[in-house]
Amino acid sequence: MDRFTEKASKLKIILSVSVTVVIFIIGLAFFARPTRSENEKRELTPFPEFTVDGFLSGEFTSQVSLWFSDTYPLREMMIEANASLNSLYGIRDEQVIGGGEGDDIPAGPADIEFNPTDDGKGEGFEGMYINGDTAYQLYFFNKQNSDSYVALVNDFASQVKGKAHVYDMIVPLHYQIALSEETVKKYNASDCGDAIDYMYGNLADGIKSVDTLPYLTAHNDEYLYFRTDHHWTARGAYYAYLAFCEVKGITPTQLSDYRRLQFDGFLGTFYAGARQPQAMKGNPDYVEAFVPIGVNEEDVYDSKGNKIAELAVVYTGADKYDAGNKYLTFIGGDQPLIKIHNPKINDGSSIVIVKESYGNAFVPFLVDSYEYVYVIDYRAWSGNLASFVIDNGVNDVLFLNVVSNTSTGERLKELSSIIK
Amino acid sequence: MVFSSLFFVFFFLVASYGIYFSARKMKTRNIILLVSSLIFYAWGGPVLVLLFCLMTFICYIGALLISQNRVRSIRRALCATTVAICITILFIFKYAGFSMSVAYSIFNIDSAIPNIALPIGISFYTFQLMSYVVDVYRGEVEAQRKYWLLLLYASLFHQCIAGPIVRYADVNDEIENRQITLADMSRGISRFSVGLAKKAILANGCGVITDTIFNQNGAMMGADGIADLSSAAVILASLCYMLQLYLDFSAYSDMAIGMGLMVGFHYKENFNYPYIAHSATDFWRRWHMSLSTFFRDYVYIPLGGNRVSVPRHIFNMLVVWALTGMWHGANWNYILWGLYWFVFLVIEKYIIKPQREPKLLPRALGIVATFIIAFFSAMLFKFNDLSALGQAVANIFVSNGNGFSDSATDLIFKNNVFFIIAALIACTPIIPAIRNLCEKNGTTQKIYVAIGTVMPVILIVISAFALAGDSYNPFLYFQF
Repeated sequence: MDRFTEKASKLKIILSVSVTVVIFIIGLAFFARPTRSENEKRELTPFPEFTVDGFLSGEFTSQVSLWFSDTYPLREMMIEANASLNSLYGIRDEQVIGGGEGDDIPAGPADIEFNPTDDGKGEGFEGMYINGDTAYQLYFFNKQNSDSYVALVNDFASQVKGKAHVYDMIVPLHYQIALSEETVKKYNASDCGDAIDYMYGNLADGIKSVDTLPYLTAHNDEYLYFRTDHHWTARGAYYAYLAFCEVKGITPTQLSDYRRLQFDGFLGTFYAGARQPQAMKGNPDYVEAFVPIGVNEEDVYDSKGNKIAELAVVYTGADKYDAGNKYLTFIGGDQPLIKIHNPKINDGSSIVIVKESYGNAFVPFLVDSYEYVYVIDYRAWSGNLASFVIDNGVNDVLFLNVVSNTSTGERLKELSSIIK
Repeated sequence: MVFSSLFFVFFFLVASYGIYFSARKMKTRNIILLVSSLIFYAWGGPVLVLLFCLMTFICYIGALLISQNRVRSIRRALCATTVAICITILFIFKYAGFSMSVAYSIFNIDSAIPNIALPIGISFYTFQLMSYVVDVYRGEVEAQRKYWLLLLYASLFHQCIAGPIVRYADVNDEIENRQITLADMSRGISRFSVGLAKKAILANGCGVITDTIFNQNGAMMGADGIADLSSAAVILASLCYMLQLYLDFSAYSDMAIGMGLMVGFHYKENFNYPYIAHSATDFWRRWHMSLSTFFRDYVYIPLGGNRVSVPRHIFNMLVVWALTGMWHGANWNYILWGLYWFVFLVIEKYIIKPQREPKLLPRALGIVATFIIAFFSAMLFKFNDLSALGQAVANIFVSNGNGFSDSATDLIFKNNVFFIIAALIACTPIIPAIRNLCEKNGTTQKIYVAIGTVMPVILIVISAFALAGDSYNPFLYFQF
């Protein structure tokens, strides 16, 4: 070994060993270990409890390894660094994560029945198309599940026939108004408009469908869906509210009449799902919110009907929320049951909105149109919807779902549990 | 414990080697190494350590008895008995379930098949122990008188669960007498960091591409799912799997060799760029060499090798390749995989007869042909479900109405094009060739050395980044 190589070898050993030891020492700093990841929206793996059985089965040791890497003090920084490295893997201006293939959408009415399939696609997205700083959830029409959705709404309508009006709103996804037909076809995504038309076409007589697509399309140069999150914005929800008002035949509140708030720095589920791309981080979303005029307070109940909190319909302090949590601005996030009473209206009008999280941004607009607004998250509430409507003398019932949920078996099972 | 985890690299290895180097005496160091190795092994299931220690004990006693006996027939019987016990234990844990399912289906028995957990690395350490017993019987190596040192050999965490299959004869002297030199330490660190990056970045990255195409709802697709894929999708996914198979497994060997060098063990090479082989025969001189030499020395040559009649020679090859296939796993696809190679090797031996060192053009053609053979062999390896395999192969050759490619596959390719090129480069000896070029000139040699000085630390850090995202990240070769 010549002297140069010898020196280089020594330097190499010192460098590699010291960096490795530094990473080792940081790993020992157990007090600096995070317990929750806001980006991934999950609790990180806790240090396992020692049990003899767990130890003998190897469960304990494998949990320790998992805990070690899952809660490593610099994990978030390392994941980000890895994301930057991954961006060098190829030309990544466009990406598709996941994917699928939808069924053909029938053109006319069909015989429908309730028979949802649970094909393991219950949670999360089937597919996501990413273009620069914007991601789009992709939707693949499932006929059996779509039929089941319609059958459920029809079933419910027959239970409250003559007692309440039933409205159905199925919200299209962002790609439907933002991407070219060619791009949508390329990745096999189903046409949201055709799918929604098919489902509306099979609703029983008397159920009023709310077609939001023309309203959203007419304003597609505005900020209607988030780029880094799978939800729509309050502005998107407002145009859907206009569609609802037209069907119901009431005068909507003007957008300019609301107090407008803006919370910057929102990085939602797409950001985490796309493994935290720099393009999104460099250009995060903002949350726009419109504060209801009549009242901005709500009572929150658990799934059994016990009151658990009083929250704001639109939380005006949402700038305090983490970057990943800013959609919680609306109605305090997903709650089993919310009751809002608007003291400025005294006509006894009332509505139940049966929704998933797309409903959250929509609810604030209903506040100034009804004396009583009941918000039921069908994924969390347990009870009988028809009894609830009849017992509370509710006039209107609105089902609000994003179109992908009408093809998701898990959602339909949850919805059926409060209807059947 | 897996090598490619933050816990192993940045906790276990640092702690274990830290304690190791703080000790001075070889005996103390060996005790530390043994305890570390047992902890390492126990991490995957503490009970299985007992089986491991028991098998080592059986081979320890067997070898001692053989060495103390002068009568040839008795020595032979002792050797045969010890090896038979090893094979029986291996069979029970690895093949009993599969054999029963085959027997049940032949005899139409409708009964539950016991679910026996496969002890980690059993195929590797059983083979190591058997080679030790046979070598003692052959008089090639002396029996180890201390049980704990034999246990240290078999359990060394560098190689006990995923190879290379280290022969006792190769490390016998180094167990009690080994030196740590600057050159070895330096080479060891480079080798380990290359292996780590190869696994954490390249192999795992290839795996992601393969899974993106072949997986549905988190599991490998069946024939129905495969039927919907385009030719390009199947080719891209299979190519990435082929790269992953080599990168993953050779990365493990790199890390094992590197960690061995750091403490003075010199393990033999296990891979020599198999994807540039110019014939099937050449491929097997380059792929998983510790396994192929094992079968050569302990099965093929004892059967008579090639110094027998043609039919007998073909039979000998058949035995070796059926066993090689079975060694990889208890499933039909692995057995077929072994037989697949057998067919090409027989064709080469008796029909084509390629030269050992062909000239440029025949070599180039040979490399292309062998790459294609290895490509389909990787597909055989990937698909446990033979109907899905048939569908995948059909998709490549037969137009199924899906077109050659599709937008999603085009996009996956575009998104990963530089990565795939890097992975391909890592499968070829381009970097050693650059080193050889650099060494011809003083200045370029210094540049090469300088880059080599900082490269390990860069590789370690970016591997840590990559591993941070994968909470769980097992090696492909773990279960074999």
